[in-house]
Amino acid sequence: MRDLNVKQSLTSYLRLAVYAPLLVGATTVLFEGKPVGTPDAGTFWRIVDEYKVTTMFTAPTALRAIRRDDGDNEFFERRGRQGALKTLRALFLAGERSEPSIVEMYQKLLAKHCAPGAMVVDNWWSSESGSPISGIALSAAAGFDFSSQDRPTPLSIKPGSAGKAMPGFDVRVVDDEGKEVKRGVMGNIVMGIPLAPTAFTTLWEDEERFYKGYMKRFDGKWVDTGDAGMIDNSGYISIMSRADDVINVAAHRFSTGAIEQAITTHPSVAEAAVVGIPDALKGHLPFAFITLSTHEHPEGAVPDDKLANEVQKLVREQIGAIASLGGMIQGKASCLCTDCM
Amino acid sequence: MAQEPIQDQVYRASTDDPETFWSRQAENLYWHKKPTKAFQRTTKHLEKLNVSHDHWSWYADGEISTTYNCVDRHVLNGNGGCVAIRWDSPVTQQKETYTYKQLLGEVETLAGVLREEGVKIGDVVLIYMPMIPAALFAMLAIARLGAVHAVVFGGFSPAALAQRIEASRPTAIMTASCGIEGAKRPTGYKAMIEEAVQKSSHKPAKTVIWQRDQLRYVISIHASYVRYILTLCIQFQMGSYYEGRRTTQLATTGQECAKQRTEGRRRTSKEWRWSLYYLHLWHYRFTQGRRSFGGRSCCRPELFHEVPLRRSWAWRCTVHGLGYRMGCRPLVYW
Repeated sequence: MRDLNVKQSLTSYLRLAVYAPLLVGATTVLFEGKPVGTPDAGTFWRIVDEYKVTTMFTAPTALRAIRRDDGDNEFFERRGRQGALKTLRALFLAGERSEPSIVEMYQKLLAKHCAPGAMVVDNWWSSESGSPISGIALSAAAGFDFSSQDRPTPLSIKPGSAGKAMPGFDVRVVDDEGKEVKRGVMGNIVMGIPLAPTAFTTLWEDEERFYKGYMKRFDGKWVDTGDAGMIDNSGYISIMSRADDVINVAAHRFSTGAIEQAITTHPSVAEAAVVGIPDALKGHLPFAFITLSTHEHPEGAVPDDKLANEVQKLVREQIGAIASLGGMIQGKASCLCTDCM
Repeated sequence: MAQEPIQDQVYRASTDDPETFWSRQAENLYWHKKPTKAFQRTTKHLEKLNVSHDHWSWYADGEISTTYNCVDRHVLNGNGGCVAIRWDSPVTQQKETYTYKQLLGEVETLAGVLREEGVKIGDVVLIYMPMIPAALFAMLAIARLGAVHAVVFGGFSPAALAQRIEASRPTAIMTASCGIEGAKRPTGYKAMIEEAVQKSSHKPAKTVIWQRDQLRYVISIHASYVRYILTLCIQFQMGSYYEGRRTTQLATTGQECAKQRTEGRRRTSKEWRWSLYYLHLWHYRFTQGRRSFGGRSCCRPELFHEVPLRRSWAWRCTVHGLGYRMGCRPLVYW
């Protein structure tokens, strides 16, 4: 059902795409198509070229779909070599967690073919926040002087992190009792009152549900986001999963996002989704669904032994033997429903 | 010691002194009534639950129009010739460009149509449309009237749409005759809308339809739900288009549109004195998260009617405020 979720996020983007560029007098490019198949995986880059796009906003799932069809980035490279993508200064990603492998891949492509200093910017937000809660500002000076033309060098990105808190959002990581945890430790991501002016202040005709859904869990002290993650020493926020995506394997708590991240470091894996399957002994076992970034997609649903062992090794190395996968299934489609694209 | 990066300085300014920071940000927008104060801490008391909790409000006494700030302002500042929207549709082999001036014309006309159809301040209008410029006109026109738009993505199933209709109780639905998903054949929205309205206990009074050439929305007056729906077919791109017996309304709508345009121009300060709200409907919150596949996801029905309500003024303050500077440059989104 990820497609529905992506769409929900896209509903937020629709507003972003309508109001934000129009408010500043920019041009918004409205695209009726999909990242692949209309007609091919090069359609996004054709649009960047044709309309001289400077800022592109998309969901990582679209980039994964492109990677699945165009594993060697031939479309991007071809247009890039012609110098046709030089206008692009930033590729903003949101809607779900961007795993480091996809960020790093596109960061390399941007550095090679796009505007000087072009960046992949993962940013985190929700329907509730109405605008990014965290990210990297490309022209931060505008925060003090709207007409400023200064372009100080932006903060650097950290692949896997959704950047630093945006103005007005007091983001904290707390334990289940609402006590702040140390930097670098995973916990519940919450926000202090007030939220920035873009954010919701209640639910439609339902003050009680607003309280129960967001305020009650931490006794009115924090607004609950339902996301789990961590903040590092320099204030970079990593959103690892929904709070209830944390699985419990033999009394160890793992975020499915971290396991997915380990799996996608394998060069042949385009996408991964990890779920917890019940296990009588350990409580949960991580189970992975993957799609491959190969040109020819195999028919069988069970990955061959070589791939299975390699992936298992990556998980053991990066997370620990205790997170070893309880099983893995490979499929052709990234989403069960193609509507998400 | 190295200087603190500007992004960090801006962030600190916003949390150290929200009042000053957000008052300054608000100066970047046109207010029909300037707020005297940006930030207010409040306490909310919930009688049903007998609890009180800290709360807050922003720009409590300000009045602002999102549409005015998004569209009119640029035209009045002499930037009407700048391109506002480029539409690229590989699925229909079509491309279109709208300048700010053209966009204003479309939005004014459509706002006039909606007003004539009885949409008032505070009403909810549900949008069920594909990725076409008309969807943007609809959003801006609804906001212009001080109404609330609830966006449901075109292609959601009738059951899902019915739930959203029931939750938001819209006065009208704005839709298109079809959506086109990738290389597939066009999906007609007529059957989806009809089934959704039939399933919902709330019956929206009006349905406004954007006719697309790929598949037209043919009104069947024999359908059992017709007594609930006064279906109004409008091709707002090419003036007004009516089918069957609604032709008599063509003239009135045309007149009303012309009136709305002139009124809009003449009564600028008065017309737009509405506090704008919009709502975002989303019904499913997945307990199992976003990276899940089929069987794993489940929804929390208790959050079924979740509709955050928020002031819609603020995009610029944060979006531009922290440097998503787009100038007159294009932005692609997917």
